[in-house]
Amino acid sequence: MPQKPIRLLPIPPPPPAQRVARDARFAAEGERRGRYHLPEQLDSGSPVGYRRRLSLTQAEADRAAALLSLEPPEAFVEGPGPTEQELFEEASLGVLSARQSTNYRGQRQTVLGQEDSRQLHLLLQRAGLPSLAGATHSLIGLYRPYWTPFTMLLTFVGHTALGSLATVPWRAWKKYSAEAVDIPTIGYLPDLHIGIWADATERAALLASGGRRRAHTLIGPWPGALRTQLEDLAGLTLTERRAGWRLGLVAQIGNVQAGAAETGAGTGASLDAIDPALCRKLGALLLSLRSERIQPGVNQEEKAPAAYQARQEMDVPAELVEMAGRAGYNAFHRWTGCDREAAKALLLMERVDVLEGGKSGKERLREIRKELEEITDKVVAGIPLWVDLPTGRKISTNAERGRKAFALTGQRIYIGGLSPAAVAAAGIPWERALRAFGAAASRSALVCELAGCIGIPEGCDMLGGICLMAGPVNQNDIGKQYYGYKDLLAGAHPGTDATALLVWTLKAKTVADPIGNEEQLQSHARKGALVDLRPAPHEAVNLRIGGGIVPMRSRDGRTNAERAFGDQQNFVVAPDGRHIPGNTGSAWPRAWADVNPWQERP
Amino acid sequence: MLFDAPPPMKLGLGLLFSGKRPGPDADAPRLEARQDRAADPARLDRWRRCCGQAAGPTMPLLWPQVLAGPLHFALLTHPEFPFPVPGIVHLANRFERRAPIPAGAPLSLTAWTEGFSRTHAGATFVIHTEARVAAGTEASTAGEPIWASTMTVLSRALPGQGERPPKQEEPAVAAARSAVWAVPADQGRRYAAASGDSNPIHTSAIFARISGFPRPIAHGMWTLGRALAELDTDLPEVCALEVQFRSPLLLPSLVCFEGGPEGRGGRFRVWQKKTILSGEWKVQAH
Repeated sequence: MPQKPIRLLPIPPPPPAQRVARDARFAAEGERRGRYHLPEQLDSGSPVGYRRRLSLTQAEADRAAALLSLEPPEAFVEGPGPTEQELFEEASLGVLSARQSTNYRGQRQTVLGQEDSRQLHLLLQRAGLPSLAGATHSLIGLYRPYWTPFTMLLTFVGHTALGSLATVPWRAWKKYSAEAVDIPTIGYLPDLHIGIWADATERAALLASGGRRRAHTLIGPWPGALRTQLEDLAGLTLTERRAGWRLGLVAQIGNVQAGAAETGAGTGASLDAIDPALCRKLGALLLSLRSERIQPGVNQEEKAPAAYQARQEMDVPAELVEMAGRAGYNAFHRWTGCDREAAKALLLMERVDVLEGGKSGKERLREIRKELEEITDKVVAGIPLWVDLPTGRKISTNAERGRKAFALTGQRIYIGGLSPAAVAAAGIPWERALRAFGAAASRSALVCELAGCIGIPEGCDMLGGICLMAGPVNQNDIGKQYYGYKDLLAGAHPGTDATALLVWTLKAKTVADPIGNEEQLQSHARKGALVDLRPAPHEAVNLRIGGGIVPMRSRDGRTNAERAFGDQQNFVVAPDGRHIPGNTGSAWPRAWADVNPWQERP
Repeated sequence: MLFDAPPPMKLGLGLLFSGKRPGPDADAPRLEARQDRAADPARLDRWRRCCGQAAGPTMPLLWPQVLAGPLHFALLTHPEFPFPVPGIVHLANRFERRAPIPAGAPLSLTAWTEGFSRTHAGATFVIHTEARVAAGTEASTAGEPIWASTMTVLSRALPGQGERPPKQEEPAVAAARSAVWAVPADQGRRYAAASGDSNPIHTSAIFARISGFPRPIAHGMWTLGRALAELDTDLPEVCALEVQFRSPLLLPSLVCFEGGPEGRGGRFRVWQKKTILSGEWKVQAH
């Protein structure tokens, strides 16, 4: 059964008096700078920068809907190879912005030219995997295990007071030597990220080429011998392998026949309708999407400006929530290859409609919050004192801070997961199912994010946004592993081994979150300049040229300062029209950007 | 003065203590220096890389000025030139490129200076430079003056005269391109190696202190070269560019650049709290 049609439905705006926007300004001379101010400058090599959402007309949204259920291409045709600029913008919508945690940085890719793509095709074919000939270029995506300050903190969770003297070092050693994880859902995160990345890559190839190219993407799992060959092709070194880097995904990208049956399956919208101008607009719009954590009048800080203080009378329409769910099922079907009805059965969801009372609404949300709070209390109380005291209680303080990250706020909340037993029974490798789940969650979220940009009224930032997070699931998993709690999905799917994996909260609102910076990321040493954690191209993308590996956009002592799709000019500005210095970026020299890198440096 | 080989640009102690003390009735006779420079692709490449400019088929706008550096130095250190070299400040520059110059073209360079004028800050004089593609080459413009610059320099060896002119409001600059540069501490040494301008005010902390700066300062020509690298193809081949060097860029520093086209030209500036350099270009008829 093909993917079901998706429609991007508008979110009705609130009454005119409630239509507010972020309107952040620069701090005045001597004024204490906070996250609600604009940063003084942005020194970043990331292609993203700080952007505003662009308003879509309903007609544009109808055409863009085709992006939300792309099917893999059936063949590539002859056509021009990519310019460096196209590769940069493709990476910008893919590995450089695929919504991974900003402090994870566990993904990177090597881009192969036409010659190496031929070799890749032969290797895939020989391994019996689906592969297309005639790619103009290909991506080999690499990832490493999820290591962040949070995973370090987890080492100290779930020990007994006395036993911790032995169990903490033992667990730390297992993490170091065998990549063991403290809780299973942390081990699943890299796979979820690969799914998000794979789904983004398909859209990226299309948008960066103005609709000419498509990606044929494989997400594994990979047979051992092929994995090593592809890792070698990507230039993975022994040291990097030891550090945990390995093959994640492969994408072959090539030109497709214009006007062929290349439609967004089931959407009714032809991909041909996504003309180059709309591609540029959508590219800039996708780069502007950020996690929206604040629901005005609900979970805003006391010190937040007035725009965040009052509730807004607006809601995510039920039909849109249904579309979001449908997009998720479509994506799971696409990436696992299972029947769409089977996808519906395998993808375990719980919907919490907060604006409604009763067991599936406010009451359920309170129950989840209470449970997560209890678990956090137990985590904080259980941190071994011999670890916490010498660090000035930094460990327990950080565990306390987690409450903010795990907070669930939104009007409609999805908790999603899988049943390992059901996935195995369906004959789908667990690793692939996890990746497909990541793709499903992000695509579902994207439906709401794009719908939240249809007809944005004057004076508003948006009409709806989402926050896709693993935090509440990880906290629940701590409860499951160490304190005897049940899975978040246990109530909605009794009698199964349901394992919650991600939570996404949908919010209808007109004011966007502060531009993404936490106060601690504003460098005092740099007098208020923002420390951008998002990677620059040379940090996450390599090109394989002439058998060697060359970082993207690091040349003659210069690195990237360009913002992708910058021609759309959707940069955050102060109410007086002033730009954040450094935010609009500066284009890479045309002499380097307008050429095919493999023809320029064979 | 005619040179067969570039004169060295080293500041020795002799220059520091040259004993030049212009009197109130000082005179600056016309001094002229000429030199033919063969193409030096390796050096040009080094200079481009230092400024972050991409290689291309045509010569960068500033390259003839870099090549003419030794001529300028020869003029400034000539016994008949009235002002001492230490303490002179590069205030402004105007560049004019009348046609694209092939990157590998040999150039005939002429530089001259004559007279000076008194201002509120001291004495200002102008060094003119002109470049022609050496005669006998295949270029269609061979032998014609194809590039020109006027460099305005201030010497405080004479006391100021007259009133300080009122401060002019700086025109707003389009932020079509906006970048933040982290300029490293050794930028002066890097540019000195690439350009041959080894003035120790850019490379030595001690000399910078003696000259009144807390740290070494970046070469104005590097700052300008880096700014033009940001502008890339926005700056047309045939154009006139006017630049004001407003304050020193102390090394190391984090500075902002912004600029972009406006009408038949464009503006840019490099700044921290104060403007370090500002420029404006206009498209010229070819």
